[in-house]
Amino acid sequence: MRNLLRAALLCLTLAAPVAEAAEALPPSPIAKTELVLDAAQITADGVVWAGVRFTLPEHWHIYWQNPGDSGIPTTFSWQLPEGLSADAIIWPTPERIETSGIINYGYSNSVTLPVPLTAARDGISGTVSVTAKWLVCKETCIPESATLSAAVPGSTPGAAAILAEAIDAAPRVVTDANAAYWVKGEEVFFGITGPTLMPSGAAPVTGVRFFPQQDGIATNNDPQTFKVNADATALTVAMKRGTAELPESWTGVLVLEREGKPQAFQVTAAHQAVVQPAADAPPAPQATTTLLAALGLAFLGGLLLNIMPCVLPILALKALALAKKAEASRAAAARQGVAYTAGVVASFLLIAGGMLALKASGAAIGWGFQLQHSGFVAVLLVVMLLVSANLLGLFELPVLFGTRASTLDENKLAGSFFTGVLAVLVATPCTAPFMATAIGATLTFPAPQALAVFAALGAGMAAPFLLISLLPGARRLLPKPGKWMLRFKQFLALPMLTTAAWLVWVLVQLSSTSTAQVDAHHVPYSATELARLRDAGTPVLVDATAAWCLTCKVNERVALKPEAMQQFFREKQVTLMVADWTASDPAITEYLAGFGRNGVPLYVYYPPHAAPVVLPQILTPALVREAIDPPQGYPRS
Amino acid sequence: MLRTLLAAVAGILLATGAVAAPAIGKPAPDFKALDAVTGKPVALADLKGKTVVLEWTNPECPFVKKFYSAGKMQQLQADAVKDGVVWVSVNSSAKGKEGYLADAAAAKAAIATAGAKQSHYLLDAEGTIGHAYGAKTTPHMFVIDKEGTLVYMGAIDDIESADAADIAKANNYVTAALTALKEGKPVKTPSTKSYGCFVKYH
Repeated sequence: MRNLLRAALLCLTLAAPVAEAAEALPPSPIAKTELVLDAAQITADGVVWAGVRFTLPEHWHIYWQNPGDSGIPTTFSWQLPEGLSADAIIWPTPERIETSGIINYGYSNSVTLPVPLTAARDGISGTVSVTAKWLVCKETCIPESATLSAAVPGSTPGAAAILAEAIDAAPRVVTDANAAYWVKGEEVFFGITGPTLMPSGAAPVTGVRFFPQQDGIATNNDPQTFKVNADATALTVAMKRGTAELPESWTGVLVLEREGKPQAFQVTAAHQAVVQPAADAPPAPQATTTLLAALGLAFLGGLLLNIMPCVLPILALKALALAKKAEASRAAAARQGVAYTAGVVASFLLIAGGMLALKASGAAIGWGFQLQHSGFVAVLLVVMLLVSANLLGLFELPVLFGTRASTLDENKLAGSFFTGVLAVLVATPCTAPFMATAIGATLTFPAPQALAVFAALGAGMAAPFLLISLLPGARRLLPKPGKWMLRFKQFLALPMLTTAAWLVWVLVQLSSTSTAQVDAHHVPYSATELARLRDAGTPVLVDATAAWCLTCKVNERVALKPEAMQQFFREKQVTLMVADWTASDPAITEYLAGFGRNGVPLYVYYPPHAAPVVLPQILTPALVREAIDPPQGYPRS
Repeated sequence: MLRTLLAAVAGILLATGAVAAPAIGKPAPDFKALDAVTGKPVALADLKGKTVVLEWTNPECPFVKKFYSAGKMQQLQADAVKDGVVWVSVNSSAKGKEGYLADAAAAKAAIATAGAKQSHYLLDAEGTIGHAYGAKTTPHMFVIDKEGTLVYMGAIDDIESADAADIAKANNYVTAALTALKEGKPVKTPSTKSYGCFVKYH
């Protein structure tokens, strides 16, 4: 009895895995096929329609001409009487099929794939035969084929209606669309305009799906987003860049949903490449700024950095530290000042050295390159948070300053050095006047001279505090220590936290998908597009900016984005071309270099058929208006 | 307080240091798994100094069967291993999905039935290695050189069909890549679109 039980158990355990195996498949062939033929009359140069109708069990699918991540396209191979030739399949708009993160394009339930047959002459007769090969999948994939034939002239029952429906399900081939595709960083954009795709007065587009005919240019399993311009004349689809090489033109099916109804179009986009600047490129850097001039400008720029919101809190803190220990010896105070200066200068040299080394090895970067990397921005964000926490008295910073219990306003030498480092780190998003020219000059200097310019920048930035620490008179001017100091420290946490919040936004910009706006008045930077606009006599204002550039953002807010200014640009038909340098972009780096610049912001106005005008670093609406529409009698500078 | 902040640091840094998609000319993504047959760990980092081939497989897939039933995949494996190449077959079918192999015994049985000659067979039911490499189909092939750089990724050959008769007519991309590496030449076609059944991730 026990043995019987044991045997029974053994049988059950052996049988179980077999039972777990794949469920029973539908009988073969899984896809039922029939030849559909509407060829009652064949005339010379006439087209008759044929097709194969597939009927599939539930959840099974066959594939489109681009099957997607996996699968094999459905193919037909025709055997035709002499004089009759078959064209390519007119593919109905496919479905997007997802299985565990794998994306395929194909058809389920039933589909007819129509093919036009062209006759070379009258009186053709014989047998039309097609061998269809396909892969049908649900969980399992089964390659199948079928050979179907029918006599011509002749028609299969209901053929006309079936084929008409199939042809109707095919996307409309658009010829009037001005379509282009371009790559920017990790994204690829497919942009379209034209009266067929974007008719005026049409309902707004509520959904978009792009089915690429050539696979791999974009990934299939990342989200597709879209943007429509203000006057609904252009639409851009943003996708994540794949690994395939970029062809000259990219064809695909674009499905636009309006008022809940999808419309499918087949569009071919030309590759819009970023090429060398046009023949009348911006003027080369002026007769190079002499080293002495660059040093002077750098020093001045560094000095001005101290009043920039990025740096002011740090400087205030150090001054506070000095005020606290006002009774300390002059020598001690001087040592603090020197340590801080050393920290500032060393940091500038380190970052500049890094930039020069990277450029020497071919990277097309400029000042601010460190902010083009989300890793650095993340670190800077954390530093800001730690500093804010320290200012709010939440905890000490032994980690940062390597001393037992130091805070930013303590007077340990190492503390002062690292405060200098911190000051430089937080200063990079700010660009003071004079800095841009000085840094731009380093483009043409050999490394030692370039480094000297950055050292001068550091010296200028450290100068105020150094002065305070060295001159006894200056220290006596500082307010006496008191309870107000605690409040002041906490108050300074505010700009730090604001900067931290802004850095989070920069991080998001650096890592998210953001489509460039495509419309008549706002375009992303492209050398070819700029050349085209200038040839057409369109005034262009180039705004070279970056998400991490505080000065740029303030300028935009004050002098470019306000509605009044937008209205002004529209009136003067000025196209605003945004060169977004948030992530590293060699084309924009090159454009900046053309103006002797190595960083952002840069504002260049191109009057129609005239030489470009470089606008100042700090913009005001009046300044911009004057550049674009100078008052009568004023020469354009 | 500090701990929370440090956790936030770690979180931020992890989020920004996103997993890099495999790219030709860049280091191939590292992986570490147990060899299904011997139970010993196999890591890409330990294979430096050897050429490595990764073959995504699923014994139930008609495209995999195309090569195995004709003895062609086994031939490729044997020839490569003889040349000192490490051939790693990876099965990323999730539990309950087609081609899933539950344990060492099932793997050994599958290998024995096929007469396969790979160096290692890895069971990747969680799909970790599959997703790290972006493996989409079976078969999906990757060739990694002695320095750990990815030099080929994509289809096994250039005729996408399930017909074994097409193997002889097709150009085998893996053979081409291995030959190029042996001769010290650059791989002519480093990246192609793979074909086959979709990997049965969960």
